[in-house]
Amino acid sequence: MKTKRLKLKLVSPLSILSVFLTLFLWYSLSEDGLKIISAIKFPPPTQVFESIEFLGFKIFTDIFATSARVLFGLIVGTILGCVVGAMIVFSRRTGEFLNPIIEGSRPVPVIAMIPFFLMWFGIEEPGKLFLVTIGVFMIVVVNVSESIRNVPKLYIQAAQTLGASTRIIRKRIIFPAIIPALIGPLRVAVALTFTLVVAAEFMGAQNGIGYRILEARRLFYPQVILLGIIQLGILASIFDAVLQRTMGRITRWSGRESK
Amino acid sequence: MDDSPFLEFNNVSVNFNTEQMDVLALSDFNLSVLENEFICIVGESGCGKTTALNVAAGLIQPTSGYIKFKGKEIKGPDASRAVVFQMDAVFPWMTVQENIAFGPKSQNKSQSEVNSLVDQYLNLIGLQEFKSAWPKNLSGGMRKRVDLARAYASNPSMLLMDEPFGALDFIMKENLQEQSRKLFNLDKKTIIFITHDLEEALFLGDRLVVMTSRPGTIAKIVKCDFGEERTFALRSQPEFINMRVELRKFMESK
Repeated sequence: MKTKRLKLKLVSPLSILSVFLTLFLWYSLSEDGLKIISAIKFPPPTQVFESIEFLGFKIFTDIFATSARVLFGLIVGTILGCVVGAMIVFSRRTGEFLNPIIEGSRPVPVIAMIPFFLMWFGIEEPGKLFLVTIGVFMIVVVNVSESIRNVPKLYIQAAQTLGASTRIIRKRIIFPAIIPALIGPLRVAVALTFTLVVAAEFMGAQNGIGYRILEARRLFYPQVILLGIIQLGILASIFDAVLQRTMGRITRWSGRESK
Repeated sequence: MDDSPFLEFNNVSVNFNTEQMDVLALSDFNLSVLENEFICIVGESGCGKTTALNVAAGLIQPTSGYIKFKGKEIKGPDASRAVVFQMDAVFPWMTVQENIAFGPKSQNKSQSEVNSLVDQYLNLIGLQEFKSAWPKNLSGGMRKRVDLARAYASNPSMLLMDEPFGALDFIMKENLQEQSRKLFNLDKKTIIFITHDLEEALFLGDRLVVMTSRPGTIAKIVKCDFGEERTFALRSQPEFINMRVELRKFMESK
């Protein structure tokens, strides 16, 4: 029944209509249609499709490279954010020690640190991965510590009076209780990760969608730039959908409306 | 029945000191509860009933006086005194059976022991067919039954119940009251039951403690000699009705 509902949602007529309308608008305004916008300023659909053929296998290596960086940043940043966020709440001393560093560096855009990353790591992979991981970490750490503080005391007291140890309370009460509150921040983190990966690929890379966009700008291939943007849009939507599906399954107890 | 107190409040006072106010919730509260006794504490809203229960659970420390459980001063919450809270405290991320298994599992009972306890209490509360259901799919009354079963399955020496049926409709409430008394007769525990419903207190308790309004202290202790087995019919018996009327008058005069 669930699969049926999902299929129905995937083929929602309104969604199909919105995609077709956008494509139609693009086609009509571009040089393929009414020639209102020149191909230099905004390439027509035919040119973008031609650029797929032009790039060939590179498209797949770019998608793979960008996805791998996004995935690494998301996984490592989330794990680190969860561990440190929990430590801040569970240990008063750790909280007092780490809070000024985290709170002081959180408002600084991670992108501002790119020059340092270039000096430290050059254009090598660790610099890019580090940048993305820090971006995700900063979002997750604050949300985890806030969510832990917001876990209803009632559940913790109930567990205590049922004989649960601190370790059991953390693992079986606090951890599951905060997951619904992390879905929103994680979705924000996915979007930010793509921004950071593209920025990291701009600062120097040998592959990746961001690198391909920068290269196309230098060689003046606007159709490749647009193709890159479309690829990023589709990829980010897939990541977001997978995240929502996964979190929806994990939190199926909560009554949260899944997408 | 051993006559030495199982739980003993001795001149317990609790003062809540916050930025906004200074409230004396409980003042010189003295009560001795015997083993396997069903005590009901009744009083108007805000009289300190819940505070007294939280002190017994170890969730609040007295400002002065002391409270002893089996002769030892209570320092914090533990599995010997399970609480059924007024608010819905069933863990929503666990199924019905996982909720009931939580106590025994936390106490490192073997899997077979946990399973048999879960089955035993699922049968007792009549929710066998809902064992794999999420709490969100149960009614308020069913969730309360899960809460009760979870507390019993953790095998506490004492059960502390804080207006557990306060938010339920009267038919559900009366059914659960009967079930609670039945559970008590089947599996004797020492129980403190907080309520503001005089009829509920008379129906359930072996003894009834009437509290004064804030600062809460004990105004009267009454023995309810209505026997072990209590059914719906008890409510229409003359002695039950007379006692209810007398106590109501007493509470109004306070």
